[in-house]
Amino acid sequence: MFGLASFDLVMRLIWTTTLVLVAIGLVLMTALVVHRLFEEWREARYRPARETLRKALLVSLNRADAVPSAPPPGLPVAETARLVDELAQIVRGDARRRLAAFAVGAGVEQHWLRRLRSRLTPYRFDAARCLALLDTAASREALGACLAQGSPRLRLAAAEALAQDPAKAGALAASFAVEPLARSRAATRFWHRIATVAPDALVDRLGAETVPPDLAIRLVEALGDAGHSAAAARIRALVGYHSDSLDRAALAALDRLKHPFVMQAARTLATATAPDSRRAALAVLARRAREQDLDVVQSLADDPISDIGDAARAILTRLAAPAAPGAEPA
Amino acid sequence: MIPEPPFFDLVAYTVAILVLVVSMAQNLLYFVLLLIAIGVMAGRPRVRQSRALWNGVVDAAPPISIIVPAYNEAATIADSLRSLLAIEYPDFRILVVNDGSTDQTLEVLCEAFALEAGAIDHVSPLHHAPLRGLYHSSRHANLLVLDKENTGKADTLNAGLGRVTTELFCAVDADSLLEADGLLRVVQPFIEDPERTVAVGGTVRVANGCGVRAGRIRHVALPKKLLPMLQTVEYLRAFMMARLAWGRLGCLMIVSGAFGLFRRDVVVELGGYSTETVGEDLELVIRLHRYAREAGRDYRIDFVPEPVCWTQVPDTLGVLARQRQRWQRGALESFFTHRDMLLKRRYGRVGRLGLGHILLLDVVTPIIEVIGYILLPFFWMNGTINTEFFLAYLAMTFAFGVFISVASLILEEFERRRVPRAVDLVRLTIAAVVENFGYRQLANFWRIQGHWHYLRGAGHWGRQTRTEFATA
Repeated sequence: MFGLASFDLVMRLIWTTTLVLVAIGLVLMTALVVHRLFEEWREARYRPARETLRKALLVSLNRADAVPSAPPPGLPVAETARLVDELAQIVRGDARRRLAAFAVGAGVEQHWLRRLRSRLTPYRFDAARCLALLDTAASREALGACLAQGSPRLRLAAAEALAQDPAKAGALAASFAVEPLARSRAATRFWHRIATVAPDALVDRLGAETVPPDLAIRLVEALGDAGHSAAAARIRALVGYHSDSLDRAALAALDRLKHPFVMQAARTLATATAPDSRRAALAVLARRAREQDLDVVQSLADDPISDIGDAARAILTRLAAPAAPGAEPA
Repeated sequence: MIPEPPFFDLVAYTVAILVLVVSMAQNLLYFVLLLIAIGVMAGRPRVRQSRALWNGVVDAAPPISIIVPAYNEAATIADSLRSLLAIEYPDFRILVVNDGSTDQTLEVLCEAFALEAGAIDHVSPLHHAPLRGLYHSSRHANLLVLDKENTGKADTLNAGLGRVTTELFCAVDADSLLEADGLLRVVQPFIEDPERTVAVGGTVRVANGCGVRAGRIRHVALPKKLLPMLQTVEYLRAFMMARLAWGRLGCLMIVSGAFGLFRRDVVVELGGYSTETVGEDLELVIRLHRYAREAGRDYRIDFVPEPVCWTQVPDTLGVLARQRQRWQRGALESFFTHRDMLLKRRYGRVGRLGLGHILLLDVVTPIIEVIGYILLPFFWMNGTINTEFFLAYLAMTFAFGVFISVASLILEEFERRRVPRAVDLVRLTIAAVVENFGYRQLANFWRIQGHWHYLRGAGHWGRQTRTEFATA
């Protein structure tokens, strides 16, 4: 068209590329259908044996009896591993320990260690997550090696598994980097676990000058949720110097810790430029303000953002109202 | 030297290139969304089992009110409510609002749930049609039914919202079935990020063909009829790809009216659902974006793919046509109501990408595509455009759609695996191909009719017919 060969070339490129994409999609879909057929065949073949084992395991895990020493004959170790992974998500405490012992005895540990050496990252990731169940020397060593691998997801899964051990958790708290997954749920879970197992190490990390604001937010949230009051001074020191998000996270953490510093932090954020920071300060003041805080609330009553002004005036009205007769502290 | 084309050819070239460019822009957008959705899926943690999920959130889960607007839902309302009453969530209340149904909806409710009339006991912060009655269930302490005059879905939702006392509310269509762990999953963003999260949407899937017993999907199966089957592919594409990607980009513009969780105080502050549009779900989310951006609030409107709500889709052409015309009209009303947000820096990505994609996909594309169907074959037959151009057009208009649909199925199979059997995957793949040859063109024709209804200002929902869920 237009007598231009290059234009026709572009047109040809468009339709050939599209057809290639369609072909790739259909081939991939065919492969998935074949894979699903194989799975259906495998399911039909091994389901009875797996269900037998599931029942036996559940009975023994519930009754604190000894777990079966070996899976039924003919059941592949991958099937046993799948079942163990499934049960690990619903059992806790001693039952979980006994399940782990069964997994080691049934060869599931070796299966997961083999998977951890796979070339496919999803396999390695799954294996790292599953190995968290077992607390054996071999699994700890393999997971430790994963901390140096390229995939951030895998490193995080390995770190989360290792964080159960207080000694390892301290070391991880001091130096482990989760970027670019800093904001992921897995990272949040990891820091929460560290905050429970090794909170002091986390407080030290928070004090390091090199800690990026995104990471500091996760650490502050984790320490606040863990109720580690010793972190309050360090958290207070972060308010007003870094980012609005960090300010709000710090205020929320101090609020959760019910620490007296929370009112100082709220006073600081009541004058912040970000409306959300002022809202967060006001939310704290609404719950904790006393007569001596009236000046801060008064300053927010004239806020240019209408909902902040309205809320501040409502607090002032409440504070000005006389206490209900007979309403004495329990 | 290239000879100057005559006037007709010049116009034809312009139209042909416009059609091709719009198709390419649309397909490029879909392709980018697909890549983003793949990235999001790859980075998501493994889906937790319901029990583990319950253990993880039971102490932190805030109370939720479920608002169920019902208009002429006698066929499905009892099953839907049984499904809702059976959901696994620590603290929830159900509020059915009967929108002056002319069938037996209220009678079915009274009979099935032993309703007893009570006094209206609240003052609503929102404007809505007067309430005719309030009913408590003597069997279920967490079930309440409001009866009001027929004024449309948005006003009905506002009536329900006016009675809600919990911090969060969930809007669920009366012809839908919420999975037992649906609320536990959809509430996650509100637990993890309570300050910022204002709305969260979940996945809506097609229930036609599934077996239902006691209000629960007992047997997942694909529809037997072609029309619902084609819509199954559409729903998968919309939820597995588009909404996931838009959620990641921070410009999710719609939380489906069939299933969405919202913060009550924010929605009430905005005046509730708009009664000026038939696309109240889309309009509300755009308004939430506008409100948050204008107030300088840090906020989050998210999409979580795991919670599933099953819905009956139309299985006749007439009902489907009316639904699509209404959706199109709602999209246009919402877009033109908020057109001042388009490309404005103040609204960030929402103005550029969010409103921009509605302009491209909902306003411009249907018209241009239909023009293409009519004119491009004619231009090719009379030699105005050559075969290479025509093949490129066909590839963009028909074949690329096959790729996107099949890619969405692949994504579903990799990550969610809710399609029950291998043979169903084959059927869905065939539907993904067939959909692009006839159905998509028909859907565009209905959308053009939606444009026409919008221009005429026709303001009704159209007659809806409900079919009962299949028994498992």
